[in-house]
Amino acid sequence: MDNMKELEKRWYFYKAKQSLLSLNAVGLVVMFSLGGYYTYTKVDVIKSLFNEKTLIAKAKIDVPEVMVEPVVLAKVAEERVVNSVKASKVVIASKNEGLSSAVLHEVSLEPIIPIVNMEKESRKRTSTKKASSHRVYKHTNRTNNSNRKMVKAKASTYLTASELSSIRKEVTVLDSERTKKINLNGTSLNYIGTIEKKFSRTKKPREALLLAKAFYAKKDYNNSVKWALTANKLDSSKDESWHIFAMSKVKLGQKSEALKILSSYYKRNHSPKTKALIVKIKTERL
Amino acid sequence: MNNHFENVKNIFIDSVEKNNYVELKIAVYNYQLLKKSLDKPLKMILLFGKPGTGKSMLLNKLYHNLKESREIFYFDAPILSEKEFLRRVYESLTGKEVPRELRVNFDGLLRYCQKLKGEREIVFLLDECQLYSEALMEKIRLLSDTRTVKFIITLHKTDNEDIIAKQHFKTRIWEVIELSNASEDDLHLYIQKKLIQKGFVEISNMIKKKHIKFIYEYTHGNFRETNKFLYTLFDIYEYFYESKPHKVSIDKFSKKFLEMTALKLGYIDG
Repeated sequence: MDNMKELEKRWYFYKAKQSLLSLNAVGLVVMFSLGGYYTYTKVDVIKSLFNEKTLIAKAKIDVPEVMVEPVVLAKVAEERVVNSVKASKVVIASKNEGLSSAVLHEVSLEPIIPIVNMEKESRKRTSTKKASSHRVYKHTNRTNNSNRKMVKAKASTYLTASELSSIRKEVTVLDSERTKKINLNGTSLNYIGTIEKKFSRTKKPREALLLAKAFYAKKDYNNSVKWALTANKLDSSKDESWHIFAMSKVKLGQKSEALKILSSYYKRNHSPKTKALIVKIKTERL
Repeated sequence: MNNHFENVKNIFIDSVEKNNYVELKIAVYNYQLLKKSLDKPLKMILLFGKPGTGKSMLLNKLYHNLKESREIFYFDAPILSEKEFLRRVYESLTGKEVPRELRVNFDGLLRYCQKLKGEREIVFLLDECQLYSEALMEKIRLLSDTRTVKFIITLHKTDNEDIIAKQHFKTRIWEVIELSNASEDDLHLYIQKKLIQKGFVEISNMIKKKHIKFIYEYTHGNFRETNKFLYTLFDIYEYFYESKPHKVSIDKFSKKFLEMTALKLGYIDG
C-alpha cells in the first residue's frame, strides 16, 4: 500500500517535470519565433547598419588622402610665394618619402623660407608696384584678415560691443606678434644653419639645393655656386642645380661660362626651363 | 462491481502453460514450421530467439499437441548433470526407473538406441540448451546420429554472444527456427486474446491502440516484458479500485496507471 502511495507521488513528480519541460519547449519555440520575426522585420535596419559600417570603413581608408592634401595645398601656396622649381621639389620629395615627418617638417618651414623668385618679382614690379617682395608676410596678413572677418561674423550674433573691442585688441596684438615672428625668422641665418645641419646629417641633394637657393637669395653667389655643385654631384639630373649654378655664375660676372654650361646641359635634357634661362641670360633679364 | 483486477493480473503471470498459449499468426506459422521439421529426417532442430519471444511456450504447445500421437518427451528445465541427463533419457526410452545407486552407461545407451533404429522414433524437447556443457552436447549429437532419437532444442540469443555461432552448435544443427518479438498489432491481439480467453471482454475493449503503442514503446513486443507490464498495471488497478475507487474508470483505460507502471518498472525516470 505504501509502495503504491509512493509510486503515485513519483508519478505526480514525473508529471510536474514533464509539464516544465513542455513549458520550456513552448517557451523556446515562442522565443525563436519572435526572434525570427524581429530579425525579419529589422532586416532593413541591419542592412543600413551594415552600409554605415562600410561607409565608416571607407572614410577610414580615405584618411591617408586627407593627409596628403596639406602637401598639395602647400604646393599651391608655395607656387604663389616661391618659384615653381621649389614647389615641384617639395612634391617630388613627398612622393618619394610618402607622408614622412621630414616632409611635414619641410612644409612647415615653407612660410619662413626667405627665398624669392627674383625673376617673377621683377616682372611683377613692372606690372604692379603694389606687389610685395615678401609674399610670406602677405600670406600671414591675408590669414589675419580672414580671422578678423570671422570675429566680425561672430560679433554680429554672439558678442557684445565691449567683448568685441577687447577681442579686436587681442587680435591686433596677435597680428603684431606674428609679424615680428616672421621678421625674426625671416633672417636666412637660421634657415641656412638648419639646412646645413640637416645636410650634414642626410647628405641629400635636396638640402644642398635648398642651401644653394638660400645663398643665391642672400646674394652670396660663391656659396650658392658651391652648394649648386654639391647638389649636382649628388644628383646631376635635377635642372635646378644647373640653373642655380649658372645664375650664380652670371651674378659673379661669368656669363659666358654660365651659358656654356647651360647649353651643354640643354643639349642633353632639352628642358624648356633651361632654354628659357639661357634666353634670359642672353637678353640680360636675369 | 467486484474487484476482478486481481484475477486479471494473474492472467499475465509468466508461465509456460498450455492454456496460456495465445494463437498469434506468427506463432501459428512457427508451430507449423516446427511440426513439419519433425517429419523430416533431421537429427537436431533449433528454436532460437531472445528471452521472452515464446520459445518455451512453443515447445510446450508442441509437446502437449503431439504427446498423444508420437513418442515425445519434454525436458522443460535444463539438466546440467550428465549422469542425470542420461538417466532421464534412458527412463524415457525404456519406461523403466533406474535405481538411484546405478548410473546409465553412455555406450550402452548408444547401442540400445542403434538397436531401435527403424522401429521407433523418439523426440526429445530440450529447453535452455545454452546451459548444457559442451561434453553433454556432444553426447546429445551422438545419440541423434543413431536416427532413433531426435532433439528439438531451444537457445537464448543474447546481445553479447551469438551462441549459434559456437562450433558444436554450428555443425550439428540441421534446422533453425528463429523467433522474434511481436509486432504492435500482434501485441494488441495477444493482450486481447489473453483477456478474452479468461472472459474479461470489457477490459479487453478498454484497451485502445494508443495504450498498446505506449506499452509497445517500452516492451518492444517482448511477451515476457509485456506480461510483466500488464501484471503490474492491473496490480495498480487493483489497489486503486480498492482504496480510491473514484479514481478508477471502468470505461476508459487510465493513462496515469500506464505511466505509473512504466515508472515502477523503471522504464521512465520519475
